[in-house]
Amino acid sequence: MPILKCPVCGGDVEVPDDALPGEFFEHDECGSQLELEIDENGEMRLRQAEEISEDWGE
Amino acid sequence: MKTLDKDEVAMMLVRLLEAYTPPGSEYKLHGILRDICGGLGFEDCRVDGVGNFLASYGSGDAVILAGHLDTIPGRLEVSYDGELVRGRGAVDAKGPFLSYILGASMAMKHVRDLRVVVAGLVREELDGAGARHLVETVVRASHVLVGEPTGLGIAIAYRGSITMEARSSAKGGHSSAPYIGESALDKMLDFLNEFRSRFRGMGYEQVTSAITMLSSGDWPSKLPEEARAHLNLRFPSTYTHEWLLKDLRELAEKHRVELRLIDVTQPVETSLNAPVVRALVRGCIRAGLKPRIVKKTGTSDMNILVRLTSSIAAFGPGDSRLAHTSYEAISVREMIKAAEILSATLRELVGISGT
Repeated sequence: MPILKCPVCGGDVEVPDDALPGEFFEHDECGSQLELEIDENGEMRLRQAEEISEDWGE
Repeated sequence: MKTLDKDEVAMMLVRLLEAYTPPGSEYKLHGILRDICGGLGFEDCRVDGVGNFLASYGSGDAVILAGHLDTIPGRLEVSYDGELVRGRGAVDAKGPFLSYILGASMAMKHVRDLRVVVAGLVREELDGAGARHLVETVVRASHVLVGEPTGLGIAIAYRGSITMEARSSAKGGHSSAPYIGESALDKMLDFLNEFRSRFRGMGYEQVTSAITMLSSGDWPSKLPEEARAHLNLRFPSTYTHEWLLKDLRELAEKHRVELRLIDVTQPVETSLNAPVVRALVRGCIRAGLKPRIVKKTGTSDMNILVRLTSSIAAFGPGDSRLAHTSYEAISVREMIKAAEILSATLRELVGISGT
């Protein structure tokens, strides 16, 4: 499994081999919510995910 | 079923909506669901002891796709205009439930290592009795998906809820001389004002309050001797109900108001790393949709079903702002998109469950 850097705390984040661009991961150590990006060279990196939105209703 | 025909799906939903099913009358759907699910190839269809409808196929780790059969009371005319189906329960939540049935059906040939159970639960709008029965009778479930209108967002959290009744009493008096009498309504209003100012949150992360019922007085010139109110608090998982109850009881004591606890529903919040959340995210991506994570301000059967597994999320088509309104309508295209995502999600769970 690739190990990537958390852009928030700098810690290690293990990402599954089959991860897709756009997938979300929660960093166990700092709790940050991260989104996987894969560039045209196949390089993986994590960025902070957009803030989780709020939805009204039951 | 390989591809879904829009009009065919709409007619299935129309059949479900034409059966008017406020809590207690969910049985009206059992025959229709047996017909639909039987026709789609589900291996087993049955009704449990409280009236939950269960259709299943496959063997292995159990995945429960839970929706609810009841709606709030209030009949609405059922119609289909080629795009939208209207009627009571179109959004909350027969439309999402039908997407679950269709999504499970589409995945049938691909997920033989899972036991897929579509569960139509009773009394979600009343007391969650169907979900509670499922929790008590199901031995084990690896993953649970809850069919609610999330606009195809993936809901990972619902707030908790506390419902209470407040009562005040006083000696009363003549309204011409309120300064020598005592009004139970005045005591109640003082209490309610402080209650409202203490829990005045404005969003998911805060505690919000609502006064949902208030009654007092029996004569225009008489100071009320009794007053009664119903209160509802909603709170995220960063609060505990014990802390809130302690605070409420201290406030009631200060104003000499009696409190009676009616219901406590615990909040639920799952992780982005939960297998079913990951499968839904991948299902959205596979179906060409950018995944969107949401937290819900209300409660649902997810608050109860989390006792089965922490791999749980809510998902479904429909605009939740239309739920419980006279304008309930759902896009059939969105229902079909939801079914495609659910089918892809079940396929993703085969890999995740197998690891």
